[in-house]
Amino acid sequence: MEKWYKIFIGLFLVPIFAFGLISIFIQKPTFSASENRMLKKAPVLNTTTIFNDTFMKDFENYYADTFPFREALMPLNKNINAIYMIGSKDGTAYINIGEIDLGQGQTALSSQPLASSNLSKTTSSTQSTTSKVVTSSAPQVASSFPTQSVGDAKETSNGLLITDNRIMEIYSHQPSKIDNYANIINRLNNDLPGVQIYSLLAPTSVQFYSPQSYHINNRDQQKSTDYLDSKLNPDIKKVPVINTIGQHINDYLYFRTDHHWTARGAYWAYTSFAQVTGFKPVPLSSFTVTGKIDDFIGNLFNYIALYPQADAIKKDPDYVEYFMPIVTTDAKIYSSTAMTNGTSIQVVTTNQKGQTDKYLCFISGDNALTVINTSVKNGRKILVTKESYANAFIPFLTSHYEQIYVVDPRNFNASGMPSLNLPDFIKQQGIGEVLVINYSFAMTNPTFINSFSKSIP
Amino acid sequence: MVFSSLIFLFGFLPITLFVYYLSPNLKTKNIVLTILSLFFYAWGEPVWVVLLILTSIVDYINGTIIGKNLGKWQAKVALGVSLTVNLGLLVTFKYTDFFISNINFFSGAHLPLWNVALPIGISFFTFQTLSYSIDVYRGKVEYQRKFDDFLMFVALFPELVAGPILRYADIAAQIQYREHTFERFASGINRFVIGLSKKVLIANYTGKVATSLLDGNIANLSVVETWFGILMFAFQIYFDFSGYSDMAIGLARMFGFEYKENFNYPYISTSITDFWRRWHISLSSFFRDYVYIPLGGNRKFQIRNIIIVWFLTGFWHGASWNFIFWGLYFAVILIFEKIFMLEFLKKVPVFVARIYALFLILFGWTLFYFVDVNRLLLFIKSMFGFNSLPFFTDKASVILVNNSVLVVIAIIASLPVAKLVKPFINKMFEGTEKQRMYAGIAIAAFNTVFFIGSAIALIGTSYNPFIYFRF
Repeated sequence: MEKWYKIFIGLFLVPIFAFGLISIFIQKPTFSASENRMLKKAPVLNTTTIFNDTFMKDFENYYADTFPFREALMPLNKNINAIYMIGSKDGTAYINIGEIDLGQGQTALSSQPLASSNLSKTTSSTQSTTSKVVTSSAPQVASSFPTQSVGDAKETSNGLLITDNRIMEIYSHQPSKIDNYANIINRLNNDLPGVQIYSLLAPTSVQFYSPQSYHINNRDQQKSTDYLDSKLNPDIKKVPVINTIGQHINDYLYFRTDHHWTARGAYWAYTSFAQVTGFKPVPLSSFTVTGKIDDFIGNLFNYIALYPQADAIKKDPDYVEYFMPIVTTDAKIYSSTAMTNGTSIQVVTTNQKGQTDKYLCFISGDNALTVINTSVKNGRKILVTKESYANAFIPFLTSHYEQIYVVDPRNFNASGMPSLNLPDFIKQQGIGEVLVINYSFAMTNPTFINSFSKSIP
Repeated sequence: MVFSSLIFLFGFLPITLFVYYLSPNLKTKNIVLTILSLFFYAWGEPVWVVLLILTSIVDYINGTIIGKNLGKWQAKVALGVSLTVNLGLLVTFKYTDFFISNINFFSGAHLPLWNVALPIGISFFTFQTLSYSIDVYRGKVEYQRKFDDFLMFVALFPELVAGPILRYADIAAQIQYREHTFERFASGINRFVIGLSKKVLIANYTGKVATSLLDGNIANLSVVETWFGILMFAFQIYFDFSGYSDMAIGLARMFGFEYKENFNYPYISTSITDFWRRWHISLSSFFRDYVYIPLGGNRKFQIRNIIIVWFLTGFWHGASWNFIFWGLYFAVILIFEKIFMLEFLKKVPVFVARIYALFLILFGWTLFYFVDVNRLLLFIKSMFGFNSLPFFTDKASVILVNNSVLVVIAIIASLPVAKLVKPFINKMFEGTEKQRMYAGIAIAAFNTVFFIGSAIALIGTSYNPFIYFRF
C-alpha cells in the first residue's frame, strides 16, 4: 500500500519539479508561431511595479507565455478544445470569444519587422515573421466574468461564426448605440455650415457570406444603416453601399481571416460614393498597376487559433490585392494637427515583408493624421474621419481630390495624446467636404465612440 | 496567484513543498508555511497584506482577553471589539461604495465614490477570525496562546482567498499536532487533481459559453439560448467554486491538514432546503451557527430568522441589489417549503422534486448573474419568450451541437459518480495483490491524465480568474 502511495506522490512531484526547474533554466522564447503573436516579456521589478501589483500580474503572464515546450504542447491544447468544440453537420461552428476589441488602431510605422534569423526559423514554415503590432489584439481566448462595473470599455462579442474557412463576427442591431453615433455626426454637421458631410457605414462579411438567419432581422446591417440614415440630419448625404457590394459577392470582397474588406470590396463602396458625390468612378480595369501580397492571416484568426477549425483555415490563407493610384501622390503622416515633422509614406506599400498584418499596406495603417496631395489640380479638399475600414478605400479617392486629409480619432484626446477639435481643424484648413466612414461594429465599440465623440466637442 | 495557474503549479507549489518538507520539525514547518502563505497573499495584495496581519493581531489580542476573562464583562467588551473590527473592515471595504451610490441615487446627492478595490479574500478571512472570537467566547475552544500559531490559522494559503471558511475549532488541534503520511499526501494529490480538472477542464469552458450568451446583446437571445446560457453559468460557478474547494482540501492534506467538505453534489438536490445543505456548506453553516440559531432558529420567529439569514447570505456575495434579491428569493422559497412544500415534495416522485429544485436554482443564478437590474429584466423577458424572436434559432442549434459533449461531461461530473466508484476502488485497493495493482494503476492513470490534461489546457489560456475571488 505504502509503495503505491509513493508512486502516486512521485508521479505528481516529478513533473512539477522537473518543469519548474526547466522553466528557470530554459531560454525564453519571444514569439508564438501557432498563435501568430509576440509573447510577453519579463516585467521590470521595482517598488512601483510591486506595489501596484503590475509586476506580479505581468510575471504570471510572462511565465505562462514562456512555459517550457509551450509551443510544442499547443497542438495538444487544440486537441482538448476539439473534444468540446464539435462542428455541426454543415461544418458551421460558433465560437464564443468573450471580449473582443478589433477597434484598436494599428499602424505600420510603430512596427519593427523582426530581422533576427533564429526567429524567422521558428516561424517560416507556414507564415512569415510578425511584428509587434499583433500584440495589441492578443489572441487570448479568454473568459471574462461579470464585474461590478456596468458599461465598461470593451464590447462583449456576439461570437464568431465559422463556415467555409471564413471567420465572421456576428452582428447585432442596437438602436440606442446608433442614436449615439448619429448624434456625433449631426454635431459635426451643425458645427460646419457650408461643408458637405457624407456618411458611409461599411458592412462586414457576415452580411453577405453567412447563412440567412445571421443577417436578417436584428442581425441585418441594412436595418442598422437605414436606421442610422433616418437619424442623420437631412443635409448629410448618405452613401448606400450594401446593395452595390451585394451584386459582386462572388468576387474576393472580404478577407476570410480578418474583419476587414479587401481593396476590391472597398472599390464597390467607392463607386457608390462616386455616385453620391457626382464624379465618375474610375473603372477597375483602368488600374494597371495591381498585384497581390500573399499569405495574410488576419486578426480574427487569432481568436480561433486554438480551435480545431484553425488548421484548415491556416492552410488556406488570405491574400491582399492592391490597386495603385493612377495619379501621382505625395503622402505624409503627422502625429498631431500641428502638422510638424511629417513622415512620408506610400498610399499603397507593396513591400510587406516581415509584416504580419498585411492590411497595413494601405496608407500605412491607422495614423493620427495623414495628408495626401495628388496631381489632380481641381482644388477639391476632403477630410475623412475613419477607423481602419477606410484604409483600403482611401487610395481610390486620389483620382478625384487635390488634397485628402485622413483623421483617425482614436489617436487623439486621450492621456498622452494630442488634442483634436475636428470642426476647428476643418475650418482652419478650408476643407469643403467631410466623409465619415466607419464599419458597422464601430458604432457599438465604446472605446471608438468615445474618441470619435471627443473629437467633436 | 490562483491555484489553476502555471506559476502556482510549477513555481509556488514545488518550492513550498520542498522547503516545508525540508524543515525538521512541526514548529519550523508551521513557520515556513505561515511565511509562504503570507507571501502567497502578498503576491496578489502587496498592500493589503498589512491589513491581514493587523486583523490577526487584533483578534489574537481579543481572543486572549476573552479567553482569560470568560464570563466577565471584559470578555463581552473584547468580543464587541472583535465583531466591530471584523464586520467594520468588511463593511468598509466591501459596501462603502454601494451605500454611497444608493444615497446618491435616492437623495440626488453627488457624493464621490471611494473606488477602493476589495482586498482579496476579505469576505473569507474576516469570517474566520470572527468565528474564533465567538467560539472562544462561547467556551467552545481554548484561546490560542501563541501568535504565530494564530497567524497561521488566518493565513493558511489553501483556503485564504476563496474558502472554505475555516473554523478555528476545527483546526486548532491540527496546528499543534498533525501527521504527515504518504497516504494523506497521496489522497491530497488526488483531490487536488480533481479540483484542478473541474476548474480548468469544465468551468473555464462552460464559462466561455455562458459569457458569450449572457454578456452580449441579451435582447436578441431566443428562449433556448437564454436557458442554455444560464445552465452554462450554473456549471461554471459550481465547478469553479467546488473545484477551488477541492484544491484547497487537497493542498491542505499535502501539508497534513484535514478540512471539512464544502460541497455535496448540490445539483441533485430535491428541494431548496436540501440545496442549501449541499452548497457552500462552510458559509451556510457559519450563518446557521452564528446568526440563525442565536436569533431563535426554528423555535422562535423562524420566518423572520430565515429572511435575515438569507438577506445576509445574498449581501455577502456582493455589494449589489441583485445579490440581495437572490438571497431573499431563496428566503421566500424556503419559507414556502417550511410551510407546506417539503411535505408535498416528499409525496411526488424524486425526479419531479429534482426538476423543481433545479428550475428554481437556475432561475436563482439569473438573479445572481446580472448585476445591472435593467439587463436582468431584459434577460428575464427573453427567458420567457417576451421578445419578437422565435423559441429556437439557427444560432441556438449551432451552439447546442457545438457544446453537446461539454454539456454531457458537465452533467456527468455533477452527479455523484465518484461516490459510486470510490468505495469500489478502495475495496480493490485493500484486496489481493493483483486487485491492488489494478486499483493502483487506475488511480495513477487518473491522476496523471487529468493533471497533464489540465496543465495543457492551461497552457492555451493565460487568464482564468475564479469567480469567488470577488466575494
